[in-house]
Amino acid sequence: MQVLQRAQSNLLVLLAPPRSFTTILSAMLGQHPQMYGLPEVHLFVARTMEEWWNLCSKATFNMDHGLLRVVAQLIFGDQTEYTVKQAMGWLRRRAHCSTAEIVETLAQQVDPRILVDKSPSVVYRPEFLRHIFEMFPQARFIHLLRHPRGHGESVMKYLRARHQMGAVPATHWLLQLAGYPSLSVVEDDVIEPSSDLDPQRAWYVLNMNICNFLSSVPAHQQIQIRGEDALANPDQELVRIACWLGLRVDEEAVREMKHPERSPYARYGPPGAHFGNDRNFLHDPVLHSEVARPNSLKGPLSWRQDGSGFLPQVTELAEQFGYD
Amino acid sequence: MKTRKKKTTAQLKVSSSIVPNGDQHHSNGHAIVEPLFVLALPRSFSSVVCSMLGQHPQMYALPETQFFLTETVGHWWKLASRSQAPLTHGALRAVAQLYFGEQTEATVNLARGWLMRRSHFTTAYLLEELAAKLSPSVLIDKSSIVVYRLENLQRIYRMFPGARFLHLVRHPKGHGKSVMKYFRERRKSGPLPRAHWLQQLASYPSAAAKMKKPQELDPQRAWYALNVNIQEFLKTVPDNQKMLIRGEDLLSDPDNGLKEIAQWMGLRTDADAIEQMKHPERSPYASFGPVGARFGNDRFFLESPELRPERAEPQSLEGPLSWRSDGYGLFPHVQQLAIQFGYR
Repeated sequence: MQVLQRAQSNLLVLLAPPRSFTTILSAMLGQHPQMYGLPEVHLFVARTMEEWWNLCSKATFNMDHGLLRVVAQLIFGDQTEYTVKQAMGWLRRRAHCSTAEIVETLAQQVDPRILVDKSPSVVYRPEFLRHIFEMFPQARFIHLLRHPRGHGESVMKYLRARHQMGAVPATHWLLQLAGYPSLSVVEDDVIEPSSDLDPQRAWYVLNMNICNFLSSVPAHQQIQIRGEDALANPDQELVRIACWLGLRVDEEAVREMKHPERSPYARYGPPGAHFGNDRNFLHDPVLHSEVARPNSLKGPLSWRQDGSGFLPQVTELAEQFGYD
Repeated sequence: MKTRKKKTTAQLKVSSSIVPNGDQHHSNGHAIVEPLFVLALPRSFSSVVCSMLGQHPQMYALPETQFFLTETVGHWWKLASRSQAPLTHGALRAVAQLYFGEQTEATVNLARGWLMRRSHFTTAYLLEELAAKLSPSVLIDKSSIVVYRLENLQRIYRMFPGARFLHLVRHPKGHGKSVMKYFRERRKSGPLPRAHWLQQLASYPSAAAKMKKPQELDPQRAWYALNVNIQEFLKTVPDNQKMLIRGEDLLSDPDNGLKEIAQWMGLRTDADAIEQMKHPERSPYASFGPVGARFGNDRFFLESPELRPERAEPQSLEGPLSWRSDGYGLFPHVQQLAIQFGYR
């Protein structure tokens, strides 16, 4: 009973638009002796596992890889081609279960550690965020921030790299992120990306989604962290997070967190579940503090031809987040 | 695919590596020992063979649950309500035995409620629950009517991609004789509905294809079509997860046959384990069940569940078929498939 109770409160969810240091921070937090970091499981974008499997079959990326790796690791003890196969059966047999039940099962598996979930797909729709809180009313949330300029540059760099591998379909999450059409919340399943690629719009909308959602969450269950601060000054920021969670902040705990590469999901997975995390991270999962270089809200944007800078709403929100 | 007479050391090494060990068991029971599915046509010694395997100290054979005919337990109940055959008896007996300690009219009633309450489950999840209950024993499932449709077989593998599959075959002539004998017996208690599995088996494919005029009864057509279904399906399963076995070999030389299966499963092969397997009659499902769940296994087996090696009488692929009035023998494609299985 105690395990079940803990499983309901021992959930920490990182909320951020894609390309906001979520993978590295989640892997770092997951190395704390009292936490367990998941790869991207994307469970909260569906209500039931049947629905989740349907979404996986339509996704433009390997949406199921993260969860397959977790189930292989936690339920079957290892990540091999065979245990991934077993994990697939395990998840298919649970088609009738709610996705939250699966999260609860995973939380029970890692008990008494806190399960750390980060699936940037949930920030696209307010209903996905509400779904998490509805299912886990005692969950805690980190709103992970990134400077809109660093974010935009990262999105465009990733998009260029993706283009080199072939044509990117319009429904690809990266193109949707770069070509977000307006500063309003888009409620459709699939947005029609604008040909004018400018990631600041997605940065604004997705962060606003998170802010609006968090306004309904008690203050003690949420914290805001600038990703740049966490990477540049991990000792201070990681301790701040651990303190807030009521966890150990001794030297050993903090030292462990500075080794995201030790996560069981910090390398490519076996056949059938190769990814499950950001490719760049899988390629080089070590903490690089220099990635968090300072950025300014002033001046033209490198990805725009017209020499314009940030939209006023974007600048205003970034300033609220403490960026200059 | 592994056949009984063509054992290779490499295969055995690989297969033993996928047999779950203590490390794969987790305290909350979410990891189960991968089950063994016996795929066979009705009237192919499957009841006696499964019951024998289930007597191994590390295995447990269920009666016929027929779970894989549908995706969810709710659909399974619906199908059972429309079926001429007592589809639910095996599952009711298994649940009564495993969750309520015995098989009586009262526990069968409790089992019915237990299964009804789980109507929203996938049938595979329900089987996983039974497997978890039986852990660390390997659960054995054989539901011979699932082989009628390829999609049922695919469902098993989709749900249990780590499972093993035993393709149990019987000589087409012995099989045909057995079907016709059973058919005659069954007819004594009244005419068989067109949809009855036995009618379908004997007159395949006319009943299955809803032909207006039934063809002459000749079970070799079903023998061929259903074994091809199994063969086609097994092409998608890795070699180390499947094995072909001739029922006659197992019945006439149980010591060697049973030992080889146990070895393939990575289980005990000592004399005591083999000896126990030679007593299918000790299975809790080897006799008629209580009111409400009388069957769940082949009726002849329930009447006489002992191992009788003489049942595996030698047969030839040549010569006329006793059940045909025109003096015809086995079709060439039937003979060819039987030869592939090692028959003469």
